[in-house]
Amino acid sequence: MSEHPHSSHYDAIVIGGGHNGLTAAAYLAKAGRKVLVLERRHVLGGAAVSEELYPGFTFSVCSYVVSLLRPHIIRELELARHGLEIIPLEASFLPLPNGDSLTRWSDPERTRREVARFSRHDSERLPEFSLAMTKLCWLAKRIIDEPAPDPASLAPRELLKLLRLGRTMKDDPTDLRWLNFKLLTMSAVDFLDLWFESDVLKAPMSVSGIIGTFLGVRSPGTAYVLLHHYMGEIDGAFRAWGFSKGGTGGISLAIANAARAHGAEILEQSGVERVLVHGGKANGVVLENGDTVRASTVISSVDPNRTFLRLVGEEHLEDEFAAQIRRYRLRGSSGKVNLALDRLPEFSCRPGDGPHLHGDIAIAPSIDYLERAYDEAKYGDFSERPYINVVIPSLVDPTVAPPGKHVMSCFVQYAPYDIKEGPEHWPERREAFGDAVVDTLAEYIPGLRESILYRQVLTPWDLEQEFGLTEGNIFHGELSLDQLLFLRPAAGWARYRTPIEGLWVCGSGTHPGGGIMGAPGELAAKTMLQSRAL
Amino acid sequence: MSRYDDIVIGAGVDGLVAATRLGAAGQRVLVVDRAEGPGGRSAAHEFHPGYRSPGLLSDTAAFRPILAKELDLARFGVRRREEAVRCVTLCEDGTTVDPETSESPWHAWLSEVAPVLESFVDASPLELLHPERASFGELLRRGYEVRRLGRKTTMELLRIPPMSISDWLRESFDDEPTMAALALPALVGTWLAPRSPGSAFNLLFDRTASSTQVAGGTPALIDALLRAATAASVEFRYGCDVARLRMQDGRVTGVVLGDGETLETKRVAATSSPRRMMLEQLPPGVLPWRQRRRYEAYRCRGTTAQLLLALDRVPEALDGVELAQTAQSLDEIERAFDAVKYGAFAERPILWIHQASLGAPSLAPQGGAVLSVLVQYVPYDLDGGWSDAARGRLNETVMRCLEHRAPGIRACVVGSELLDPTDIERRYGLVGGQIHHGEHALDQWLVRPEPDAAAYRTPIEGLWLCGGGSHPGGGLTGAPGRLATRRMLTG
Amino acid sequence: MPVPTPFHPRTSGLCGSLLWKEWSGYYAVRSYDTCHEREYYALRHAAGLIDVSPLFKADLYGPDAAALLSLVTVRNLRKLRVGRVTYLCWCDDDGKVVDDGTVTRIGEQHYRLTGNGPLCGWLARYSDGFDVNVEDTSDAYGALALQGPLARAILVAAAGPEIEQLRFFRGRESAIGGIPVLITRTGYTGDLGYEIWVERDRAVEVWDRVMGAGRPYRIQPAGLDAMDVTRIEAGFVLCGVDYFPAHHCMLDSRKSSPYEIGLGWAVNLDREPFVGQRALREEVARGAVWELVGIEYDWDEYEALHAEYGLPPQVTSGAWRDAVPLYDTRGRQIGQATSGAWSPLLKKNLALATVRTGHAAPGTRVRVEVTVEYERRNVGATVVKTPFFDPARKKA
Repeated sequence: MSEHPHSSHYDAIVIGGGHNGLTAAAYLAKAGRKVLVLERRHVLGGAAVSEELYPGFTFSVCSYVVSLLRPHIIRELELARHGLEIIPLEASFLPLPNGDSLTRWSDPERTRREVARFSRHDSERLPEFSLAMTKLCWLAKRIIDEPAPDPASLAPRELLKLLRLGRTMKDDPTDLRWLNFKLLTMSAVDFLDLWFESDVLKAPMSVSGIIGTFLGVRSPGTAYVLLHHYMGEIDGAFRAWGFSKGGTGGISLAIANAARAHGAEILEQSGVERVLVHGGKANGVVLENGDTVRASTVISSVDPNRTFLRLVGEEHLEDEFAAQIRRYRLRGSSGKVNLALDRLPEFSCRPGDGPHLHGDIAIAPSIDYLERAYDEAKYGDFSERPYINVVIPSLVDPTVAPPGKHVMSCFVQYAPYDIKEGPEHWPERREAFGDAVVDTLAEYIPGLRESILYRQVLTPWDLEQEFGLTEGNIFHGELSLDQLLFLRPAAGWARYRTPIEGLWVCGSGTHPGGGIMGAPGELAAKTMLQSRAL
Repeated sequence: MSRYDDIVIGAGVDGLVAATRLGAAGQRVLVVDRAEGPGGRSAAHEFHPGYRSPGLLSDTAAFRPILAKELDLARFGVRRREEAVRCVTLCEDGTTVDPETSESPWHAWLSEVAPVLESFVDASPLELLHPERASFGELLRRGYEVRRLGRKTTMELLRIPPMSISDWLRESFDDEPTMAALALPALVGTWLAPRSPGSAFNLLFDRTASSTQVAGGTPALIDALLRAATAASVEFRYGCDVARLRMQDGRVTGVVLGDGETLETKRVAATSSPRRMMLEQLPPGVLPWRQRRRYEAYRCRGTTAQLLLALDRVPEALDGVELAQTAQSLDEIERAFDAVKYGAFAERPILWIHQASLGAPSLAPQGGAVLSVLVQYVPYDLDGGWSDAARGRLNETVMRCLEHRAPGIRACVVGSELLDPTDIERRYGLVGGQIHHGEHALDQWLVRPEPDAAAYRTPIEGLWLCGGGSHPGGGLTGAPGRLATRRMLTG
Repeated sequence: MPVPTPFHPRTSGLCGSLLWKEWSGYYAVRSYDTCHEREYYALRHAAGLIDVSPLFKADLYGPDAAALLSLVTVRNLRKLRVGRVTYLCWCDDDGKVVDDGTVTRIGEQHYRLTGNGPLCGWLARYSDGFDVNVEDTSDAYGALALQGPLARAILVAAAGPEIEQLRFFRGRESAIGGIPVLITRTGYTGDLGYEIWVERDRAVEVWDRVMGAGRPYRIQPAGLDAMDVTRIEAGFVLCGVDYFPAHHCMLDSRKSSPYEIGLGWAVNLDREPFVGQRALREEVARGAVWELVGIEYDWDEYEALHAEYGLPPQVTSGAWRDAVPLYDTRGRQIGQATSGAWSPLLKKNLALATVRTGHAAPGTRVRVEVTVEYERRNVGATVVKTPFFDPARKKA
């Protein structure tokens, strides 16, 4: 075991070079702290990563669209100057098995007409729905842009904070309070039922409630995640969803550039084996290659399970806390299929190129279809006919594929981590899963199979093995009410601090949760700086 | 023309409790009910010569003990049984097990928080979405009640309600039959399954809200309540359906019956389904759309059918078994639920079986027995609709399932009646065949039925909601009637 | 992307200016010439033909049609006789205006409602329990507004002499060149005028017939810019400009009651319950906070202000819609002017404004913001009665 040469120089070590780890590092470096970021893989980005998997084709391997990256992080870290470029999505396209399709455009009037083909009633309710969501987002923004309040605390400051939160709620009209309450408790479908009647509209809308959870669109509590779809709008960023130029890794690289510009050091191929804990205090890490790096502060951006149960070790944790981490639910439910295509996919319901393909394409023809996909997964199978969210970034960003050729990224749900044979048997079922996805898509794109040059299938098992996402959970833990706010990742430990002195957490397994938001990294860094932890 | 202070709609447990309390406070009270006798969802009716049904809700364990005290029901003959009847699991092979023999840390934790949960049932609702209406002192007191259990328990009480039964139980158990036995009673009548988030709250409620059964079962309870009401000078009229309310200058002035007769009153206390009351029985244009919409969104999807069986003798497996259920694993319940999402009934339904004649021998002739079987899950909107053929298929499905668990039962059946959810809607006036006057789900528990009527008083002056569609829900507790009248008499 | 109206085959050829705008998802001509003036004068001196197809329409059939409309809108439509048209608005639960439009009783149990926004979803909120069939006919019919002093002569030539008898706010089913149409004696220009409703497939034929009949009378196709000036002269509010649909407002303060936008006269308050009745009763008891008024700029001061900068007085050529603040004579803000125009006919600078009720009496002096050479100044103006222009022929 050897000491890392510059060991004593660091104020803090960040474990994991994903977007949250990098964001935390950038903020700390910006505040003048010496920071070292340690990434296990050969590329930065964690799950927000671009890789050239097949010559000439660049893939956003895991995470593939961006919407929630907090605008103030872009401003404060000057990410545009450091290379961030986001190309907005133009439409949401829903091909239907009967040869019809529904496209939701960024032009509301056009969307209204399109929806009216299926339901006039729904087309008329769209503006009211958007208005309500905007109001609800505005409420939610007050929560996600700040560390979580602690309802069980008796500290005057916390009580005051709760009181203030209560008071602002008091000013809201009853209807808005009611909607907010329903949003937190209802299923995505029930919530959409408050406005809409048409399955064709509700099905693709409801899926944003289940992304990354092991729940169905009819499961209570899924409505909340719908908000994320609308979050961008109140920040004044119309059409909030977008592709990062050069793939999602571009975001991580921009943040990394910002961090480096402020003096942070970033090392790839430097996986952390464990966190050094001495006398209840963290004082460094041991790398996979045996090197030791010391610092008085260690910040982990990997998921809570990996952080505490593997890197720290249960022997350093109190039973009660360890139990909480053990019961923290991750259970990944989604996979990813990345395709290199030698031509543009032709949707039989709407052939040819067009702006309808310049956005996300949902295979979600009905609510029952989605629910059946979930039912299959509940009992340990991947869905034979899954929900698939397809994007073809090469249509708007020609840098990611050779001319005339395309990359197609397919997010697939449900693929439960715990298949009935056991998760370690996923490699044997990987190609069958890939086939199910391609077969499903081929129902809408008849020539798809013949146009595939290369196929990468990522199962939850692969996400765990390759990207370190425990149980393949893309959000570092389910976004369910009992694992959000002051309960994320454990009751009483939602403020980025941990029971191990000097050890902090800043990943998606902390408030306000997963997605390419950057908020956990930013809030963690700011909390540390505020409390003069380093 | 007679004039009343209060007209109570519905002579079920909540209606009787409400009427008794109002009458005892000196109000002139009339109870009207569409049925021909008292009891509401727990009313007895003869479904086969000599055999009477114990009602749709036949387990009296949830009836609040505090009511017996307040209404002095002992005077009218209400007595609780010494011990709660245990629900046994009838296994596929015809054997029975009692899975709740061991006490676990989970049980211990429940008894620790029981006082808080009981106060959920016995205290007025906290108007969560109208915090300005609650007094600061009341908020503080209720907050303290929880907080004094310690920070850890407080956090747990905040963490568990939105969870699913499956996630919660799996934290403490790994034995499927035990988990299934714990889960099922909390899921009867709901549109939830063990994996549905929020169902943990149903289980919390189910575990804490029940006490021991009333001796003599529902017939004894209804009879006692009826006598208590009569002693409080309450008048009754049966067989009259309320067509709509009469209103003048924005307030309720009377009740118009189906035959056109108008009964004048100062107030109406409705224990009927809130959706029916608010959406169908008010004059048009009275209820603002924003409230209409909340009632339209108030979910009432029935998932339960009832099979009543008249037995001339009891099969061995059921000998002496008063309460039984058939779920042996959580996934078995989950799979039974899956069907209703697509408009089909479960091919392998879960049965909750009450041999009512054991607790209330008057229901069956000497030597015979009456079984009330609640069948979970059966959709209200069956694909293709409910026809005789569909009912026949359901009947056969249930009987086959029963025959597996209680071999020989077919031979004992002398008469039966099957109520599908649409029958339940028709017979009991329950919208959607929803046996709880609105689904028991986390959002509909905490704010029931909607924020502007969550404390029983509706925005329609003079109209109060006092039934299972109000806090704390539609079990056989009597609590809504009790708490509503408390508000009516003070407010 | 907007879609064409049924008259597009004709309007697209005539619109040499290529000045189009989007109106409820349709392409609509702003002005056929680069300047709308010729069209404006046609509307006031001869006749103009305006394509108003993007208006939303709903047809209600059934015994309870009148009851439903009376519940939803502020008027008691049970009293409306067959062949009559009425102008009205409808409100949300809080008595705030959602939209305004007309109701025509076409038959014993057949009504047509028009509005600026979609109608059927709103009606569906309340139609439970009513024996009525609501049909969205927005796309089924094209609509033309034939407006101007010679409109009657043209329409008599096109549709026959019985049009002569069609009085103000009446409607009748008729035919133009054998094509069935509904003609109402209504309009949005405050002048003699008619609106013609025709099935979309036969719309172009009707256009041709009317244009043909109008040629000797110097009929002009007219665009929205010209109509906008005339509607301001007529004192008509425009939804989305002078007030905002309540169900789409982020802020309560953006919403208006009928009393606040000059439609209080349309409200039949004392009758069986209707949507918003309770709130409107309370508002009447309390008194409205805002009032819609017309204002006339002081021309001399306006001219003098421009002279300060060495400029002749300048007015926008069409109507404007960017609200500007209004002040009382002591400089306190009392409201805003929401749209206005220079009236070529009256030679006056006019605006519609929303002011606090204390400042609504005709003759009240106010000051209105104007921007001259990038500088914000204000000029005197007087509250006047609307309509600014009210020819006798309007009701003839």
